[in-house]
Amino acid sequence: MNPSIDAPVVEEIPLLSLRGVRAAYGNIDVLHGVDLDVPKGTVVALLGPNGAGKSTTLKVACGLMAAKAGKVLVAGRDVTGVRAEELARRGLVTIPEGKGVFPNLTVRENLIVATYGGQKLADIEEVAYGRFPRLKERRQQVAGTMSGGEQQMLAMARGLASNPAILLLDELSMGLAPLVVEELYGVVAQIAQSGISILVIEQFARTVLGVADIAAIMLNGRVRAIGSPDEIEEELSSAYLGG
Amino acid sequence: MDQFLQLTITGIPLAAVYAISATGLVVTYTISGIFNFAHGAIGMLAAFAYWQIHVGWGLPALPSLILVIFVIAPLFGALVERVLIRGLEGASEVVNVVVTTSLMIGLLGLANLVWPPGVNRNVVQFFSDVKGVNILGVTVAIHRLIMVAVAVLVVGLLWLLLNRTRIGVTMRAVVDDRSLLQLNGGRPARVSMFSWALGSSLAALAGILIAPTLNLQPITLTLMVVTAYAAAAVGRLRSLPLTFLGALILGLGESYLKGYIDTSDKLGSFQLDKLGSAFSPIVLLIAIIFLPQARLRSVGQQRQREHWKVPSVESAVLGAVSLVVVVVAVALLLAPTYQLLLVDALFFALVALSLVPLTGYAGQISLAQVTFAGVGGIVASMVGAQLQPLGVVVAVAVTGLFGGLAALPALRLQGIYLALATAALAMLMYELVFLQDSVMPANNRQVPPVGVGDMKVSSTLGQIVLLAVAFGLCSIGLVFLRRGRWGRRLAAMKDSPVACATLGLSLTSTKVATFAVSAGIAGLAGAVSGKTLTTDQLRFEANFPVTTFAVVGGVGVVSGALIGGSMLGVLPVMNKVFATNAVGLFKFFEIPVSKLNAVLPGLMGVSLGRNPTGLSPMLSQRFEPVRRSPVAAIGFPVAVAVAWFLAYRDVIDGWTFLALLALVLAVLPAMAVVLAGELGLQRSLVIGGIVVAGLAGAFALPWATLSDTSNAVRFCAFVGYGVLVGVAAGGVAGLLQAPEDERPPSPDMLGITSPLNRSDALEAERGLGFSEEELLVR
Amino acid sequence: MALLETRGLSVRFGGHLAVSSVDLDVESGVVTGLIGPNGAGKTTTFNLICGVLGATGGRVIFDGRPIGSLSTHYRARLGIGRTFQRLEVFGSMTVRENVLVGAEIRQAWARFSHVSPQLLADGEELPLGEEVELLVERLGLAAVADVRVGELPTGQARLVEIARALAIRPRVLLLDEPASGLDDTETGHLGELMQQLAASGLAILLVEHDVPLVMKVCAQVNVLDFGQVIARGTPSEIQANEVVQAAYLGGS
Ligand SMILES: Nc1ncnc2c1ncn2[C@@H]1O[C@H](COP(=O)(O)OP(=O)(O)OP(=O)(O)O)[C@@H](O)[C@H]1O
Ligand SMILES: Nc1ncnc2c1ncn2[C@@H]1O[C@H](COP(=O)(O)OP(=O)(O)OP(=O)(O)O)[C@@H](O)[C@H]1O
Ligand SMILES: [Mg+2]
Ligand SMILES: [Mg+2]
Repeated sequence: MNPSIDAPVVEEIPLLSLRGVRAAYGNIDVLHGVDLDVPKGTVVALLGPNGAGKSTTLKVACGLMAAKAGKVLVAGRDVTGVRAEELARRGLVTIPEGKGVFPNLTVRENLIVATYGGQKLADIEEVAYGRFPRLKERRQQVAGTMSGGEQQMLAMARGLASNPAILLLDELSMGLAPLVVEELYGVVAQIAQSGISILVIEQFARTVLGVADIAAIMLNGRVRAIGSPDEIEEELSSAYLGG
Repeated sequence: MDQFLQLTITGIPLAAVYAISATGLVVTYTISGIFNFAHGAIGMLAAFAYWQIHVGWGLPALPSLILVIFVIAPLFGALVERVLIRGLEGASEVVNVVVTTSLMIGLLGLANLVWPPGVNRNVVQFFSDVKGVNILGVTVAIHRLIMVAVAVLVVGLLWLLLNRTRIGVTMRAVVDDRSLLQLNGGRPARVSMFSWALGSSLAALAGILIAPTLNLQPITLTLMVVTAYAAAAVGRLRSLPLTFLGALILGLGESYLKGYIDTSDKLGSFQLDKLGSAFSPIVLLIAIIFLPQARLRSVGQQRQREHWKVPSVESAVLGAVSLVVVVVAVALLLAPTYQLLLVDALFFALVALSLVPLTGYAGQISLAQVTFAGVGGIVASMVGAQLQPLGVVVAVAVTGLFGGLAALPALRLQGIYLALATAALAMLMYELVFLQDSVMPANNRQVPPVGVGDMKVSSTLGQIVLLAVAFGLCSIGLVFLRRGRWGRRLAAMKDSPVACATLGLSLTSTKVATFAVSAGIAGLAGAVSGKTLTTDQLRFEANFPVTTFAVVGGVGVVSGALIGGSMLGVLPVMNKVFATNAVGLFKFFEIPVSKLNAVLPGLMGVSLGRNPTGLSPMLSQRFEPVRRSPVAAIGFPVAVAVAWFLAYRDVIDGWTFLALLALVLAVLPAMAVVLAGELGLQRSLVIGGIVVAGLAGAFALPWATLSDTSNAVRFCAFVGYGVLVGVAAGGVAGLLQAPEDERPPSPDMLGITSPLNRSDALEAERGLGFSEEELLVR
Repeated sequence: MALLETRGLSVRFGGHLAVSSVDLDVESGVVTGLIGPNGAGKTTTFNLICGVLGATGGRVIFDGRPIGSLSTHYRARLGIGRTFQRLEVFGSMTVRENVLVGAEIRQAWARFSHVSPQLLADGEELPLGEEVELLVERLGLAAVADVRVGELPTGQARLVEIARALAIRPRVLLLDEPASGLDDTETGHLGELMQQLAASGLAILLVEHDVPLVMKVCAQVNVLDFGQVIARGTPSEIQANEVVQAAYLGGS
């Protein structure tokens, strides 16, 4: 649960927050006013059916997509419209859905590119290979020829190694073996402990609710419900069926 | 043996320059994802710049060299990236090819403009005053040794840069996934700019090194790039060592061919000496044919920026009929010299139309359409005037077959390789076939007029009607096909070849068929053109403008081909309109306007950066309100017809007619909005007022006597008038809303100066009033 | 004898044996599972079966006939349909057109090859347009039939691929992680659909990481690890298998 509820007087300012964000692809509106907070050191799970706008929310949050209206705040400061690379350099690390690696670069070269966040290559390699020994074997392989799951590991490795303040994860478990998913969520829980705020987007509610502090359900471009994982789990079935 | 040694030792330095040029090409491709057809032209321009600074202005060699290679060339590359390339993100490979080929043509024109040909410009070799070194009895100039040394050094350094440094890896990352690089914290905009600066420097280096050994002619230097294409293809556009090998084969091969074959050598009637200049395209073709089968790659999901509406067959028929009517109406108003321009316009439109199925529907690139048209014309002429119209049928069939067969080896390849293969084909055909005296006696050949029996199309007007009808019928056919299975299949293949294969579609036969159709249409254009074909019209580089203009017009739709082809055809009209009096208008710049035409195709390509879909869709969007308002859709042709009739009867003069036409076109969208009743009364009245006043002005202003000498003044005047009134009306109707260009704020401005890492996050919380204990507990 | 068999199927990438001596039997009328850790070689096996990749060793046998030397489109014409883990949809076309293209391509080659009846139509021969509508509807895509597939979320795009593959009326269907990107309800529907297709005679080879789904619909499950089949059996046997638990399933 959110620990700051009993914090005195001061209104809590979350590390990342979206205020009334609207976004569209061309003329098609996809987000109709999204409000979402990611308080410090918490894992927030954003759930919702296919096409609800979860990935779009994430694109707006990380600066890749411009919001039509609304604000994106990082630690209380308005960063709406700031370029994605500038946010990334300041610790807002995003692992996008499906294609988190550079397909024509080798595994190692992928990690070289990850050094823009300010870490040393050696450190990044240590974390990455430590977490996923498989990647070490495949150091020189061109990332695009690796299996879907191996690519996902590489993408995740970057997220872990680049020492983020806020981590945004889109469909982390997609295409990963159960064993690996379990392990990854273990990692997520671990890094959340160390004070990093995490926003996880998932469809498989079961896996993620175990590690989340706060869960939200998104439907048709709006956040429909927000609360503790237990509360949300109950709402979930009705939400999916209703949506 | 002596000669062999001699030739080998002269061949190696040549190979070295090819290697530098080709490596530049490969590196630019790797780091920008764009195969830069203008690579040679950039080198050429650099060589001229070097000549200007060193010889023209007398700066010493070394400073001039440094200035060109390390300052001017990189700046130029960065400029090209900023102006041309940046807008291309997400555009298809076709558009990339067109933009760089038009850049090439534009630069060529620019060089001819600034450094008019005919003047002898020599760049001396470096260390020309020092005696050469004797290697195995052959004296080699120091310059040539430098060439070799530089080549080896450059290739080595580049390899290190690309594979061992972060900036090198990042440049390749940009090509892979721009937004992912952003998420990694890289700055794609700066990185691509650096890539292009680097590529441009490499081009400059090669250009300057080779300039002393060739004479300083824009076209020679520019086309040297074909050799670089070949070497790069040997390296599969990836491997620097293999590219180096390719360059070696080319340098040595050319040297031997030049040395061992005499101009008089013949095989039958085939002039063997042509082989020397055909060597690079031959190597290019062989390299491409033996390229390992491009695996059916999963390209993943790519979003194409280009979307074309598919018109209905009915509207295609309507369009075809209107085309014939309009063309005849225009022709009737034109003086004979201008009528000939209309013939050219329609001819090029038909050639451009041949690209619609291939490039527009199937996403394949061809740079050999004019060559196919030439084949069609030559075949028709060989069949002879007596056998018409059989000649046309034979010509279409032969060209179609030829196109299908010729493309066969390249068909398993995609995108850029196909473009290169067709370019090689065009070059081979020019060097080996069109230059043969037996094919083009005295460098030209008359295509017989079309006809049945004794009835021949002999007048210019007849020729115009014939071409317009041919265009109309072909477009109806194409639209019909596009709407049917075949069209869907091509679109599917464009999106995902591998998925098509797993559905049971044979990719090769589908592509061969498409190529054959495309070549057939081009052949038709040649066969019905009634032109006198000259070898010059069939040059390799004559293929580029057609592809460029087709894409600029909008190659996905037949109307785009019409617009693009006509623009290309009527380009010379600018010469006619501006030629004599241009100086009066442009005295300020002292550039004869006619010369600017050479640069125009290049400028056209630039427009694609902003609008890769082409002109036609843009126009149809602008005129969209007309579609919604039947009154306007009917009123417009009536209004134009009335004006035309007045002009035809000489009630008004031709210039007034043009002014009226420009005006009507310009105010049409606004009028349509008014007529559809979508605006309030007040604004409707204002627009009505503007239109009436505009019309009155168009009638009243003395266009013909505006200036007693200058057509150019009149031309600019009526165009300007139309635009002015159109903007006024459109503005009131709210049709002109320029998308605002917003600058993203930088985080520094917002006070976030350093990375937010873990401790910052804690700090932020502390600032928010949490106590130490609370934070530590967590 | 099974409809589709592989015997000793192998492929090597450089020094790395991605698929090594794999023997599979894919029977008509049931769903056969192929599971295994990431990088085990499942997608590669699919590519070998349908000819997108050439095998360096072993045989693919379809309906008693070795097909290893045929090119991809001939194998498709024999009745091998598939979907892709990394989507290969026709993004610029609508959902309906995607399916229609599949059906039209089939109709074109149907003149030269034998074609099975459309399973979802209970063997009834429908006009092309109706068959397409039927497929669109059965995959739950009716609401988005006129949407360009490039604009669909991943999950629905996967369903489009399945509909398109069914349009060529395959005898064996290879599904590469069809449920990834689907939500629970959609996954449920997909499971039912697979079972129904199998019941009407289709052979399905399913690659999927959604273990409950695999265990629910499969009759037989093969487990691949490091390119080799490490276990095969019924779902309950597999779940109880300690080797498989250690390599893939984990403790849960
Ligand atoms: N590039 C695009 N162009 C047009 N529409 C798009 C684009 N990307 C997404 N959409 C549409 O926006 C809506 C929301 O998509 P989004 O990807 O955010 O959904 P999601 O909740 O992440 O779904 P999923 O769980 O399937 O990933 C969908 O209806 C989708 O069709
Ligand atoms: N073209 C290639 N070159 C080199 N290695 C390859 C190539 N294609 C696949 N591999 C390797 O072969 C192995 C098997 O890959 P495959 O894609 O079949 O795995 P998978 O079982 O489908 O895994 P996932 O569940 O993650 O999708 C992987 O280790 C991959 O890195
Ligand atoms: Mg998503
Ligand atoms: Mg796979």
